Amino acid sequence: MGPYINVCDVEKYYGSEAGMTKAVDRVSFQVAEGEFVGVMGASGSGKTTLLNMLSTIDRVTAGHIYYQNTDITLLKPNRLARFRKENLGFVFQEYNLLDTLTIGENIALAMTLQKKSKKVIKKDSEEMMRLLGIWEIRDKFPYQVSGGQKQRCACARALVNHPKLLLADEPTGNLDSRSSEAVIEAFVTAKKNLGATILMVTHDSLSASYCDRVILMRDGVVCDEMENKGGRRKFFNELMDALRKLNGDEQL
Amino acid sequence: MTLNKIFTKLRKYNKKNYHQLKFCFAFAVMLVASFISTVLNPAIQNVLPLGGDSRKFVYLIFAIAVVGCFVFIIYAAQLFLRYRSREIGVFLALGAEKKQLSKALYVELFRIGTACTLVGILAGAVLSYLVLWLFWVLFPFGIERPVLVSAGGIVVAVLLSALMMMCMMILAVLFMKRTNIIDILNEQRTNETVRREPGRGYFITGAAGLVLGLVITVVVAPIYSRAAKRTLGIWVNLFYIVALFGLYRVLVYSISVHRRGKKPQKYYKNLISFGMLKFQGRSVVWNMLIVCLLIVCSLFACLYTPERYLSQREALDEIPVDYVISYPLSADELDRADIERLAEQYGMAVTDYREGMFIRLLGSGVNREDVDDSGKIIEIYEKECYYYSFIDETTFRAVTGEELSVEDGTYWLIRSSSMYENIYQRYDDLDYVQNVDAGVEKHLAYAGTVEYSGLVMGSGFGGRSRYVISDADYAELKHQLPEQMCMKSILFNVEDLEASEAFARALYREFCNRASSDMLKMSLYDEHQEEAALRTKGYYGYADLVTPDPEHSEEYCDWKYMPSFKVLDITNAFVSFGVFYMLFIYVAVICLASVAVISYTRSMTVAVKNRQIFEDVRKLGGDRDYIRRILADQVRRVYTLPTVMGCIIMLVWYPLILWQNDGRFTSTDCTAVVVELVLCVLIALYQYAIYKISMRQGEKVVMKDAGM
Repeated sequence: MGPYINVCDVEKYYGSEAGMTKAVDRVSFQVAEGEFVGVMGASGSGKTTLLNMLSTIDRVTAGHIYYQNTDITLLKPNRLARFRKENLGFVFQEYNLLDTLTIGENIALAMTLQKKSKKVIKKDSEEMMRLLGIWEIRDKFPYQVSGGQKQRCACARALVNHPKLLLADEPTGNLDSRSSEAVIEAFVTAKKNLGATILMVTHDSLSASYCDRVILMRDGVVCDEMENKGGRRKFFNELMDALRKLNGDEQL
Repeated sequence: MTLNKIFTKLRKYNKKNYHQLKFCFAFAVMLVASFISTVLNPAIQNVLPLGGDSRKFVYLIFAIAVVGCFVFIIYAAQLFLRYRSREIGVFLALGAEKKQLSKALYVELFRIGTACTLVGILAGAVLSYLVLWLFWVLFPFGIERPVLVSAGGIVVAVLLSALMMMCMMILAVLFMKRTNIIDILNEQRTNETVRREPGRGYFITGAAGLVLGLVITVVVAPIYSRAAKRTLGIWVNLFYIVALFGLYRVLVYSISVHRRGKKPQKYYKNLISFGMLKFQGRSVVWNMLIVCLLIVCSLFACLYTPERYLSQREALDEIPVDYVISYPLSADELDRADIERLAEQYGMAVTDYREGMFIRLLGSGVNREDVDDSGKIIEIYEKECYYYSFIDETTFRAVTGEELSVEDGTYWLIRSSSMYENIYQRYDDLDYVQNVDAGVEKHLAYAGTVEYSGLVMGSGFGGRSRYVISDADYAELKHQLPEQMCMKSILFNVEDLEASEAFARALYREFCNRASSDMLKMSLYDEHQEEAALRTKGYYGYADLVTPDPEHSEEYCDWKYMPSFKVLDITNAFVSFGVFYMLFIYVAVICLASVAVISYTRSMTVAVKNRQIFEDVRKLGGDRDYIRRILADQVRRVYTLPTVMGCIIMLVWYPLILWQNDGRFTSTDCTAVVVELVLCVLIALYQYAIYKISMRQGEKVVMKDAGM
């Protein structure tokens, strides 16, 4: 059985020929099914661009991305939409909740798009909200709740359809440590209980220390990969050292 | 929960956005529908002469109004789509198919468009009827009773609504074509910078372009035309583009350049505002430019007709006689006995009755219809040019009471107070006359002008010129002249002018009924010109017969023998002014409504697009008042500069236009400028009200997002 995700020589350029910016430059890596992978790097290193291409909301300039041997860079818009709907769950840094729907409705929205029955929507969304500790605020609107609660709502929306792949862009970027922990624990639970594969872009070493593996990026290329060989605290320290080295190199 | 239910729910929660679009669409349709229904209503059609300039002018105004409405719809639809963009982005990111979302959006817009079209047309028809009905009640002699439904109006309104809907749909299709979800989700982060920070030279060239453009078109060009007797041609108007270009530069500079200068405290205080402005440059400037022009248009629409009416009214007031009738002796028209009999029937007393005889003789003139390659007017002397009217000095003195002595071999031109020489028409063009029937000819020399508005026909120039000659010359030239070449002029007053309207209408009716067929000529008709035109071109443009309606003196029919009854002329001038003003007011309303929608849209865009900045400012410690101040500063700029610039441009340009018309600045022109000032204040207040509304809504967006 091949890798769950196979990223092959992916490139992304912005701008015209005169002023070309290489956001992602010939990046290749693989992710196994059920793996929780973090992507770290300084601002502008290309990690969010990479995630956007993996999540099919941005297109590659060159290269290929395979999901279980299907090249998603070749899919037509309608097939892409179906692929997103059936396989992916998103968590954005900005939450991207609909302001005019309640927390409960925002979560139900993802299931409605999959045309799930009323009964299933009710049962699954309740379960997910309870799991992430937002059941009490289900009837509130996003502007009435805290950043952490919004992000947990975004996580619940992403996880409620039991996606095969969860993509998260700085999910803890706007949160305090307590809220961050709750969100990451939700991811770990999803991985354990739902068998989800998770790819998370983050700046936060503490959040990244929950991952099985972390890919380090700099200037659009993968510069290192670190594996969690057991012990979160140990991995956290290793990450800190690696980042210090990465930043030190940059300063030089 | 089904997808349709979610859409319904989103509609319910976002009803304000929907209401905004619905209101704008229905309002635009209503304005267009009521305008066209009013114009095409038979009651108004009868007032606008067929093929006349006023009818063309009304359609031109209509075109401007339609353009205004389209601008209005485009902005409203763009705001609606901007509100929806995030929603659609999230749906797409969650896996909704674009086809599905597009279909839902198009259906939604189609429904809104159709419903608003129906409401707008209905409201427009009712509004049009109410306006016309009110007009008819106030001026029963002015227009006929309006019809409730103008079929033509409805058809045109439906067609225009369909075009508006198409326009909205095209915007929606273009919006949905943006496949990149990232762009949609991050729309609030996109910036439109002005390409580079302009220097002082940029501003100076802009200001110079603006001033020069206006000065060349409205000051230099007319002065040059008068002095050099040549027109500069239509290309002079290209300088308006220079003025527009200058205005654009001034606006760009004003929003993108903020230097520390001598007041660094102020600079640092407004650092965030300045930065935000700079990064929304292009669209802010375009908005400002459009708003500025719309304000100029609305002011022009408000001022043009009153100014024309005031000038007309001033001229009417200066006519020293209440009733003037002219007709050829050959016609079986009203005489003194008929007039007095009719006056008696209406309880009127005729006073100051006098009459005189003009003889019509073929005379020389100067043709200035063409220009040469360099734009200079070509003057061609024609020994036989027009049939002019001549009166002897004794009769003139008796009829007018003016002291005038005319030497043999000379002539005096009778002029009105508003008649002046210009590059096309001169007082002294005549130097030779002949009595074609008797074969008598004579050279005459220009002696001067004598003012008596009561005897002036039409413009008083060309074939409608009237002259005073000496008794001896008159007697010599009148010899053997047939009756149709002798024109009797009757002048009289009534004791109570204000109360004589019914008598005036009866007199007009009688005069029309008695008019002989050879009297039914257009005002510019001339026997010699007809003969010459038929000889050279085979047709004569002024040969058509006119059909004056005895019951409606207000119906403009361009009649050569149109009598001048002061009481009716005043009413008719007012009715005509009322009709035109009503139509112009539509344009002003449309322009101002567009100003409001564009400014409001821009303000909301400032709030929506800068959500992130406001959020960041809050995180940096900016309190509610500080954020409010930044927002107010941004929104204020959307309103202040275009309003000030629009009003200043109009306050400078319009008086120059008034001056340019006849090279004079009359008391009426002064009144118009005062009215203009008042209107500028009203527009400023209107803009302030819209600013307050925008601020209230903008604050809701910003504060809600910032959780404050």
